[in-house]
Amino acid sequence: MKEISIALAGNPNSGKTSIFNELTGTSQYVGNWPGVTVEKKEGTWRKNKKVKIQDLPGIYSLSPYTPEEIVARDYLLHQQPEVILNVVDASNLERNLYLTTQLLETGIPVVVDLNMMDVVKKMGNRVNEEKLAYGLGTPVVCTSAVKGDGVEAAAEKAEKWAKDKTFSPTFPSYDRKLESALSEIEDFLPSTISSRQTRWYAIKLFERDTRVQAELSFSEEIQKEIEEIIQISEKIFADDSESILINERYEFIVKLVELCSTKKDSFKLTWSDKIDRIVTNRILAIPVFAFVMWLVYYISIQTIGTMGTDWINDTLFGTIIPNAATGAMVSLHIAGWMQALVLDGIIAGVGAVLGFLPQIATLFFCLAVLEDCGYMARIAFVMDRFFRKFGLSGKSFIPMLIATGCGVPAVMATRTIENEKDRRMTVMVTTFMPCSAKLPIIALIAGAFFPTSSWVAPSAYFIGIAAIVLSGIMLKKTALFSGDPAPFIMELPAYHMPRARGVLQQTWNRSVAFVKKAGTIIFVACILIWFMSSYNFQLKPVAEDVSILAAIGNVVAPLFAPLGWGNWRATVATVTGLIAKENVVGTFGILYGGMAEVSENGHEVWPMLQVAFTSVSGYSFLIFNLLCAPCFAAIGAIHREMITWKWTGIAIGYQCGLAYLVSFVVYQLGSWFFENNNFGLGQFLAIGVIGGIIYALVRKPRKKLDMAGVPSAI
Amino acid sequence: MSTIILGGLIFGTAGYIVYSKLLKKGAGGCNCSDCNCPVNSRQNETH
Amino acid sequence: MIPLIEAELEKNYIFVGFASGKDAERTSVEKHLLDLGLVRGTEIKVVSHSGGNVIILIHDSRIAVDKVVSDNVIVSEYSVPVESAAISLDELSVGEYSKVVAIIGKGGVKRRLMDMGLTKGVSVFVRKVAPLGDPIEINIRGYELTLRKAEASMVLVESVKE
Repeated sequence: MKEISIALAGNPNSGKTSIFNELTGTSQYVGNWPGVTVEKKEGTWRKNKKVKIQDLPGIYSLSPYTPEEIVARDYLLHQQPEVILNVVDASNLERNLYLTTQLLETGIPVVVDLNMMDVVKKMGNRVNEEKLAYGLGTPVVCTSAVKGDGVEAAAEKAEKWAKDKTFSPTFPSYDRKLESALSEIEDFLPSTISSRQTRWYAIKLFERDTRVQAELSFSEEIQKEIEEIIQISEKIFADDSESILINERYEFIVKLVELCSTKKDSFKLTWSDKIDRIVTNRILAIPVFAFVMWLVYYISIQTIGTMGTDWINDTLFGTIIPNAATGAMVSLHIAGWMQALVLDGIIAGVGAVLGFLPQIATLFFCLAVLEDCGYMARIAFVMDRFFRKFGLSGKSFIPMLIATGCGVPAVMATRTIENEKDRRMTVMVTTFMPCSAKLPIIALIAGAFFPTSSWVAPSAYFIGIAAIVLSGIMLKKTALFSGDPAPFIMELPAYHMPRARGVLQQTWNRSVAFVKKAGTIIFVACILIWFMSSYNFQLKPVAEDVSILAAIGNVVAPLFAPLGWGNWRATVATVTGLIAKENVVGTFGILYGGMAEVSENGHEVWPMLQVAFTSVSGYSFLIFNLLCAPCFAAIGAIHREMITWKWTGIAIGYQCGLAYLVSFVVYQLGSWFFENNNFGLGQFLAIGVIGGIIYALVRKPRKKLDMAGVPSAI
Repeated sequence: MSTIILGGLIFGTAGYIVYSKLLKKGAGGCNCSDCNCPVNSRQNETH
Repeated sequence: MIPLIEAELEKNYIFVGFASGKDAERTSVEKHLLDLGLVRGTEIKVVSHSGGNVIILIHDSRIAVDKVVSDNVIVSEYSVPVESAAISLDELSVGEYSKVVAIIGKGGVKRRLMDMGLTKGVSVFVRKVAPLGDPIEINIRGYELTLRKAEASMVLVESVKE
């Protein structure tokens, strides 16, 4: 049997990836905002390995607007899948069927999948799929991908339709004046074009698509005749040819929707819109957002999540596991150095990271709720007004939202930004957002130095945003990035109650990934760090202070002395953070945890940290690690988007530079203000740095901006 | 004796992780904590 | 007619066009808006204002646009008639004078109609329309011609006040 490909195509945020996950048994990231999938993904159907499923980025039409839409268009038109499973958001038929009319015209067999039927029913509306199938001339199936209903049946239908020998495409029919113009154009098409595709070519010629014109390379005479046909139609409809088609498509759809669905007056503002009135209000929007994020971080890192973390740190990794491991190893007569490796290396290091799982899982849960209910997509809209003032579009905020999970997909998500300069800048600043791997650092510093202040954990998030905003202002003024902000047009999902299944699934997937990473990369790194911190260059077991790691760390440490933490342990932790940010905490677990035999409160690391750092230097350490170069994986992603090493270098250099300066200012001024240090050279320089940053913020742009491009005061 | 077995276990696992994460073709060293790393899925497609 | 940015909340508007004018030089942003369903005559409702940025409701979906875009979108409280009056011949009523604008349709039929004198610019007068609208009798170039409705629909005319 021949292999066939089912392509999942549809509007952004219509649930393609949910269906893909259901069919292939994978767990690709699903988000409730447009533009989560930026690349084509391939998988095989669980039920039939000969059927390939292609998940495409969401598109609104076959004339692409953003780079990731081109991916989907090119695949559909050039690779010609055997069948398209057109995923349609049934709660928003009119807009979704617009793409359907275009897909039908490609001549590829299409099965229309009415997704989110559960939402439609809940709203008290009905869609008659038989009438819709009759009107479109193609099979229609109903699914509810979030619940997993009907998905298998949809794929079966698609497979059957692909193999149907009697298939001949049916096209939506438009106004007869347009139809006759199209059929006239069809007469000019060469016979080499298969009958399935004549309609598509005729329409493209009617739209004056330059690519198709070039492909067909008509003689001048024919070109002139076609142009005449188009001009006559334009005169008849008093519109340009593209608008004529779009109008006709929508007219066709409106009639069809009237025929096949019953719905209450949808052109009324719903409670969803009333919420929007408040959360996107020009005055309230930013305070509401700040409060929500403060709450999320405060709850997950400093209150609820902490309870779980305390138990894991104190009881599980503090007593139960070390005691059990010691007991087992003693009874098995395991060599002393091996016992040390297991206890002081692996359990201390991996345990220090895993201890933060409850906090991270709580955060993942909160973010998943916010995202699923539709609030996160609004943030991009709210931030657009704010971002536009310094020359970035709100579109740049979508990658930043993704970055709260992981920087790698975030950097890739910048592909939804059309403007090249904006895209580069977003790549540079996106990783300032605290990703989940940085959370243990935040939680550690907040727990060890600021157990009573509610602002420390949320402040990490806002420092990330502030760094992005300030970078935006400063970078826009350099010649490298000057230019107009890209226009912002984004569809917003309607609010709905978060669905337990989706939210829990996402929390679970991300938590599992976190544990997996602790068990693999962090595990290996801990072994290395333990070894290097327990032996010297002659491979003799020594005290930590004269170990390989100390020797290396001491060379680099003076660099960080002005930031308040010029000791080798902190230096090494920062450097190991490049492999994975969780390593910062893992390294502390080994270097500080291993020294104390058993501390009284169980938090072995905390008292040692409190000796090594002051509150201000701890905070400075946190800021540096939040803002400096991300992990290697993210650096790799940055390089893939930036393409040249020069740009990658600029990005990493800028991140580290900014991190250094901000930490420097915070430590120097903080230690003077809060910890009674003398006002000396460091403080003087810090004020100089602030002056420099202010100058960079307010100076005149290097390259003269087109005045029209300067966002006027809002 | 048990030391050797435990050592073999730990270093064997570590070796396997290094191999599968860094050296194996297509691994690419991507290790983001999100369950879907688009980088990984792309590399899986190519072979 | 006002730019979207000045539109009031909770009021229905009709999309009229873009402030930037010429259809032919449409920017990619405007093209994208068309694809999203913002075509002439579309009903628009403003859901939320946020200092120039607005959320609009069209075709059942909510779309957020920034200030520059909302400044460019022109809406009206009332629907605006399309400026051209080109209609097909069969839509005329008895006694109306009109002028042929164009003949649409396929080669053979088009040729025949033109052979009978229905060419661009010629004036046409509708004499009689059969009870069911088919056929139609017209006066053209001084003689009477009977057309079937299907043929008449291929002739586009412009009303002429006489």
